[in-house]
Amino acid sequence: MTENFSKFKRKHQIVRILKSLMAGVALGAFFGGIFLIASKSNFVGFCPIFALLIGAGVFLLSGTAVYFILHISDKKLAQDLDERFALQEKVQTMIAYRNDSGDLLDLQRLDTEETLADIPARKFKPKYLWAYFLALCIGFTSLAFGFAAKDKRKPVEKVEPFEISAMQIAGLEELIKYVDHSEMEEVYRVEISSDLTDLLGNLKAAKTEPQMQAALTESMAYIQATTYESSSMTEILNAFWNTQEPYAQGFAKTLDTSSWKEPNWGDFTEKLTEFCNSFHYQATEENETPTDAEKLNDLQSKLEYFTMKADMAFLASGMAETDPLYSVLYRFINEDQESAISLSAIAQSDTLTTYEQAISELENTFIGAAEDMYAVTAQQKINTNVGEYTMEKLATLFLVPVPPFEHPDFSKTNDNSGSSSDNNDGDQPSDGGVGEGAVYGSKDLVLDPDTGEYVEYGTLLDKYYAIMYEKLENGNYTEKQKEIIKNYFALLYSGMDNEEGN
Amino acid sequence: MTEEMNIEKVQLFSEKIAKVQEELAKDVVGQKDIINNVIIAIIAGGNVLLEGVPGVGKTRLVRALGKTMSLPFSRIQFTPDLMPSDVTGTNIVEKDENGRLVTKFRRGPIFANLVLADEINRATPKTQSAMLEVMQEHKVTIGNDTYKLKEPFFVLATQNPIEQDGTYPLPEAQMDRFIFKLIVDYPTNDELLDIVKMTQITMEETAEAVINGEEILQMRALAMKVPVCDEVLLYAVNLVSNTHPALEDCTPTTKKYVKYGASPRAAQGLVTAAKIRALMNGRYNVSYEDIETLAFPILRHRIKINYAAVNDKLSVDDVIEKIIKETKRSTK
Repeated sequence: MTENFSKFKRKHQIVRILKSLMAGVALGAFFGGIFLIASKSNFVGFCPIFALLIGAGVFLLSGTAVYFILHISDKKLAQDLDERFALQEKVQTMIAYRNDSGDLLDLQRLDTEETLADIPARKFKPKYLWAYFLALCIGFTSLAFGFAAKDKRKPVEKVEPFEISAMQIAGLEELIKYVDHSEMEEVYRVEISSDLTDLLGNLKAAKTEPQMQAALTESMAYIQATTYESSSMTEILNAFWNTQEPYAQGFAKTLDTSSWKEPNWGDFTEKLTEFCNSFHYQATEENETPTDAEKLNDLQSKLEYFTMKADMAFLASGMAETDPLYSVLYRFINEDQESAISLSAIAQSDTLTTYEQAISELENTFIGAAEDMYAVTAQQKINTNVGEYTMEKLATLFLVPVPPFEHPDFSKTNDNSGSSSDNNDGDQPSDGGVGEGAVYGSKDLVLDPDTGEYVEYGTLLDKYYAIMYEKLENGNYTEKQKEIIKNYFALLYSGMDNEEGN
Repeated sequence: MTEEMNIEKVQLFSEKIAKVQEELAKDVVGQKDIINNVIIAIIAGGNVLLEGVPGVGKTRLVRALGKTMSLPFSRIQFTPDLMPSDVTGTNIVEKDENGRLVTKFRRGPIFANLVLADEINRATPKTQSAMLEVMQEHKVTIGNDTYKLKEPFFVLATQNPIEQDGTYPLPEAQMDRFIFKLIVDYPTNDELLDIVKMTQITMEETAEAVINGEEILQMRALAMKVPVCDEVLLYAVNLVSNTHPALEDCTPTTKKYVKYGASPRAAQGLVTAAKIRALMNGRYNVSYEDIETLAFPILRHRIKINYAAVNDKLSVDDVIEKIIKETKRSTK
């Protein structure tokens, strides 16, 4: 190999490395940018770092590939030199006979060497370098777009390690003991205790925060479900409140124990007495001296309307008849009408002749049901307290949010009156009576939704009754539900009869 | 052999060529390419066919060339009645010293180193054929006797392309014996002026001998050592092959315009002549340019173009030029 030829070979080698690097960087940057954009746009399921690693891989592979592609033999390089510098095949001939010697071969070699020596290596300019620069620009543009692209991925949460502490174990074990020794109904107590025991095992096995969170969430959801399964208070009282009937709402507030810390017989009886007294006749300016019959009629009307709304509330609560609270309240309001120990029995009784007698029956009914109602509500309060305490304790122990507790919601206002129920002086029911909301007379015009015309309410009631009757016959209703609905319509018709009588 | 000696040889080669060119310039005005090609042919040991209209200096060129060389020179004016024996010589009966009749071979004008065959196409084919063995093998066979000619030996023939009456076109076999066919063009006005001025002084050639046969042989030996790389060699071969329309991978021009192509002698002559041309140009290797330049004089009398070429008003040189363009050089 001659020195002057070698200088071009070295130059080619430098250019080859430079081009390989440029091509590698260009392709690596291009694909890195593309995958970066794809990664940030969630088109591919890997992180941007991996996209950059792909770019680096493409750089290495393509750079190496281009390096090998750009390899040329001495023969080819000689051809290139001859062509570029119009050397009339001197270099090719020299390379072809580089291993030979002879008269003219030596002269030819010498002549070629001198010719090559006169050509500076800088004149051997790389071909198509602009294309590599262009590729580099495209590659960097792609990479720039990749970096500038908005990251649409969900942020990856750092997985923190977790190890349950001795204090947490002790706290949890103490909680289990608390549940075991609580007065919660046995079936629920066992379930929650068992769940806490499982939770303790799961937390001991948990290695990361998400594992801890998952175990806690599952456990707390179970405890919450068990807690509210153990108490129908919220569903039933909400149903009573939602009737928008003042006595029903007053009854709901009377039974509400959610504000109690502990069950308290004295408070309960006091509130129940207040509720009982709310049925007493309230003298008005129009009738300051009512007759006894008028007072009796007023009491029975209030009771009848309350019991009708109560029946609707029972239906709306969705609770089973076997539910203890449902069962006690239902008996208090509806059952044993003949023996006159329920509110509906008093309301519909023909045997009561004086207002005092009716009030006496009413008080007796309240007294007779008070113990059972207290027992049930107190037990459900205990159940709720234990469940909610357990969840609060767990939240405190493991620094997790406490799930929202479901308590009776008395924030709904009476839509018809437009006034808030909170205006009703705390636990006291409002004045009550029929006609608190919009009450239609049989001749009043109301909109018939079928025809879009205003018709008399009396005609519409018949239509509704027919629809109701058909639904009851064909629907899947219990006999008690059918009875409640039919009673409601009977009450509406009796109101129309009274209207006509007046 | 040392490098200095090689350089001396090459320098001597160049000096001799320069001297021949200088001497020829005394008697021949212009025609530098023709002169150079004739010199190349002589060093290559090939015969040359000079074609040109009358009066352009063909004969003068050859005569002047003969004078520059210290070599026996003879001229044969070809005519239709010229017999082969008039060229090669013949056996005659004569008395020896003892008065006995003996047969003796009388050598014809062909027995020289440089033979001018003037207006060769005026001789009959029979006489033209007598030149075949001489031109190729440099020997003459008369009866049972073969006579070897002295080296170097060249035939420089002339022919007139215009006057076709009473001429006999040279057969292809004989044409192939000429390494070059050179077209001697009409001189330019300036050249014509110089010619007129020169001939006002004397019509005789004034060139002097500057080279001898031995030197020509040495120059030939030196030129044969000029290296040719494979790519150029392959290009020369491909160029000649591409003149054959029967070959599948010949050029489109060949398929369209060539009736038949050049013989292998063309390839041999092309490379040999290219080596000499390279050395004459001070180069020690053959280039593509050498091959392409010499392709015209080497191929033009070996290729037969067809009617399509004539119809398209293409000359042989036009077709050769197209073939050259269509012949690919070695790719990278």
